[in-house]
Amino acid sequence: MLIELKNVSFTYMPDTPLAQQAIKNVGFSVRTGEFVGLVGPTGSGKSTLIQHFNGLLEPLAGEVLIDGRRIGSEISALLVRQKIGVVFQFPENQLFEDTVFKDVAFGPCNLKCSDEEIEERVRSALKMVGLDYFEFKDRSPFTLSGGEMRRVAIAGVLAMNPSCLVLDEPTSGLDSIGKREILTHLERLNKEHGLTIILISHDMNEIARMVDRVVVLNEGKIEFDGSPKEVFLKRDDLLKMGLDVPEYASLLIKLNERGFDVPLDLFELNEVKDSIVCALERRSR
Amino acid sequence: MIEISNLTHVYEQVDREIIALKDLSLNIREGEFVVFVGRNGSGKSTLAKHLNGLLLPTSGSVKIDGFETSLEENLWKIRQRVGMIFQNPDNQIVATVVEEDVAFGPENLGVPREEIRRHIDEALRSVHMSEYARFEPHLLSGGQKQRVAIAGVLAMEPKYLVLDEPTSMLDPKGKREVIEIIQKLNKEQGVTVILVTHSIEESIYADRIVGIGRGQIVLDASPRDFFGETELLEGLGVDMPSAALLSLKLQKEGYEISRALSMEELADSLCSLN
Ligand SMILES: Nc1ncnc2c1ncn2[C@@H]1O[C@H](COP(=O)(O)OP(=O)(O)OP(=O)(O)O)[C@@H](O)[C@H]1O
Ligand SMILES: Nc1ncnc2c1ncn2[C@@H]1O[C@H](COP(=O)(O)OP(=O)(O)OP(=O)(O)O)[C@@H](O)[C@H]1O
Ligand SMILES: [Mg+2]
Ligand SMILES: [Mg+2]
Repeated sequence: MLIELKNVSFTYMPDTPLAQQAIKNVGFSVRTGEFVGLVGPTGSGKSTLIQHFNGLLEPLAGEVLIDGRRIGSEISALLVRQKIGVVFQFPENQLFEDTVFKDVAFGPCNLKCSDEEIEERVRSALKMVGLDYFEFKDRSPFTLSGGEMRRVAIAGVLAMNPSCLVLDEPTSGLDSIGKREILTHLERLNKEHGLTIILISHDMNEIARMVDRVVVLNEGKIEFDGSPKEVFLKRDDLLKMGLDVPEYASLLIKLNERGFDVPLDLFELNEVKDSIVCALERRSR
Repeated sequence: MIEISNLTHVYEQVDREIIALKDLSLNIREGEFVVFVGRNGSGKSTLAKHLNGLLLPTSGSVKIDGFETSLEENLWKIRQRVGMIFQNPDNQIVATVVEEDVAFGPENLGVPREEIRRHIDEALRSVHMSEYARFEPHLLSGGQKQRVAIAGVLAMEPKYLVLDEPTSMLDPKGKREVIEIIQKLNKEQGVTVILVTHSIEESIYADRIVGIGRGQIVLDASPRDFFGETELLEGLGVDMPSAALLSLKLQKEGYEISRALSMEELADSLCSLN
C-alpha cells in the first residue's frame, strides 16, 4: 500500500466566518502500481485532497500514511515529495526559474544528480512532453504559451523520476496531439515501470480510456469508487452532481432509449462501432 | 466589424525573436460566432490579445469598428466594445472580493452605480457564484475562479466577447452552461463571439472555425466543412469530433449515414436508418 487516508477532514480558515470544510471524513487508499482517476464537480475538493498526499496540507482530523508511515512524524514531508511528484492545476504556480532548463532541472539538482545525469533527465522529460530541447531550454517559462507552460510543469515533475505521480488536470489547455502523447507516456510509465498514477480530470473520455479505477468526489466526500464500467453506469447520479459519462456512452444511452439493444458500458471507438453494427443487424432481421 | 490586415507579431527576446503571427488577415463580422483552434504555441492567445489592444501589431493593423488599436486615443473606445477573458483566470483577478472583481469592468466603463449592482448580480447568478460574492477570489478552486472571470466579462455587456479557453477547468455541466450562455448572447443579443478552445465539442457550435498553424491561418470554414478537411486537420493538430469518427467507421461498414458532428445528430441518423 502506498497512500492511505484514514478519516481525513480538512477545513480552510477554520474558526472564521469564511470557514469552508473542503474534505469530510475521507478514507481511501491507493495501492502501488494503480492508475486512479479522481473526478468531481467544480469545488468538490479534488485539489485540496491531493495536497494531503505529499504533506502540503495537513489534515485537521484523521491521518495520511505513506507506505504505512505517518507524514511528519514517521516520514518527512521532504522525503515524501521525492517519492510523490505533484503537477498542480495552475502550472504558473510551479514555475519559478528564469529558464526552462533550470526549471526542469530543479528536481534532479535537489536530488544531487551529476551534471550529465541532470542534462539527460531534462532532455528526456522535455521530449516526453513534446518540447524541442534546443528551442525551449533557454526560454523563460513565463513567456511561454499556456500549453507550453503546462508541458514544462509536467516535465519538471517527470524529471524527478518519482515512484508516484499525481496530476491535477494535466491535459487542460493541451492540444489534441499533446494530450494524446502525454497520456500515452503516462500509460507506459504505469504499465511498464509500475508507476502509481493519480489523475484528476474533467474529461470523462480521458478517464474512461486511461484508468483502472475511478474515485468520485462530491462536496468533500467520496461518492463512488470503482472501475470505469461500474462508475459510469451511475449516469443519473453523475449528471446531478455536474459530471457526465464519456461521449460514446452517452450515444449508447440515447440509442438504448430509442429501442436499440446496445450495452451501455463501452467507451472505445471500435467496441462501440461493433455493438451498433450488431444492434442494427438484429433490427433488420 | 473586426478587420485584421497583414498582422505580424514578433516577441522580442534578449537572444532571439519569436514570430508569433505572420502576415495574418481576417475579418469578423458583427454577430458572428468564431472559434480559433490550433496547436499549443500556434498564436491563438497572441491574436486574441490584439483584439482589445493589449498587444499592438509589429506590422499590419487591427481595427475594431474602424478604430485602429495602434492609436492610443482609440483604446478607450476599443475596450468599451471588446470584453476579454484570459487563458489563466489568475491573471484576471484584480480585487480581493469576488463582487468587487466583477464590478471592476463596468465601473471602469462608467456604468452608473445603481446599474452596476444589477450587472453584478445577474452575472454572478448566471455562473452560479452568487453565494461566493463576498469570498476572496484567490482562494477559490480552479473552476470557481474561471466562473468569476466569466462573470466579470459578462457584467461589462460588451459588443465583442473574446474568450481564451474559458472552460478549460470547468466540470462537464459548467462547460455546457458556459457554452449555452455564449450561444444565447450571440443568438439573442447579437454579441459577436470569438472563442479560443481545444475542445472539439465546443467548436461545432460556431458559425466559423479558424484553424491557426505557426502564426498563420491554415483553414477557415464552417464546422461541417472544417471537419471534412481530414488532411489539414492533421497538420493543425485538431482531432475530428468523436461522432464524426464513428460515422466514418459505420460508413465503411456499408451503412448510409452522413458524417455527424455531434452524438445527437448521429443518434438521429442511426434511428432513421430503418
Ligand atoms: N486556499 C483556500 N482558502 C479557502 N478556501 C479554499 C481554498 N482553496 C479552496 N477552497 C475552497 O475549498 C473547496 C474545494 O476546493 P478545491 O480547490 O479542492 O476544489 P476542486 O475539486 O479542485 O475544484 P476545481 O475542479 O474547480 O479545481 C472550494 O469550495 C473552494 O472554494
Ligand atoms: N510574452 C511572450 N514573450 C515571448 N514569446 C511569447 C510570449 N507569449 C507567447 N510567446 C510565444 O509566441 C508563440 C505563440 O504563443 P500564444 O500564447 O499566442 O500561443 P497559443 O496558440 O495561445 O498556445 P496555447 O494553446 O498553448 O495557449 C509561442 O511560440 C510562444 O512561446
Ligand atoms: Mg482543483
Ligand atoms: Mg493560448
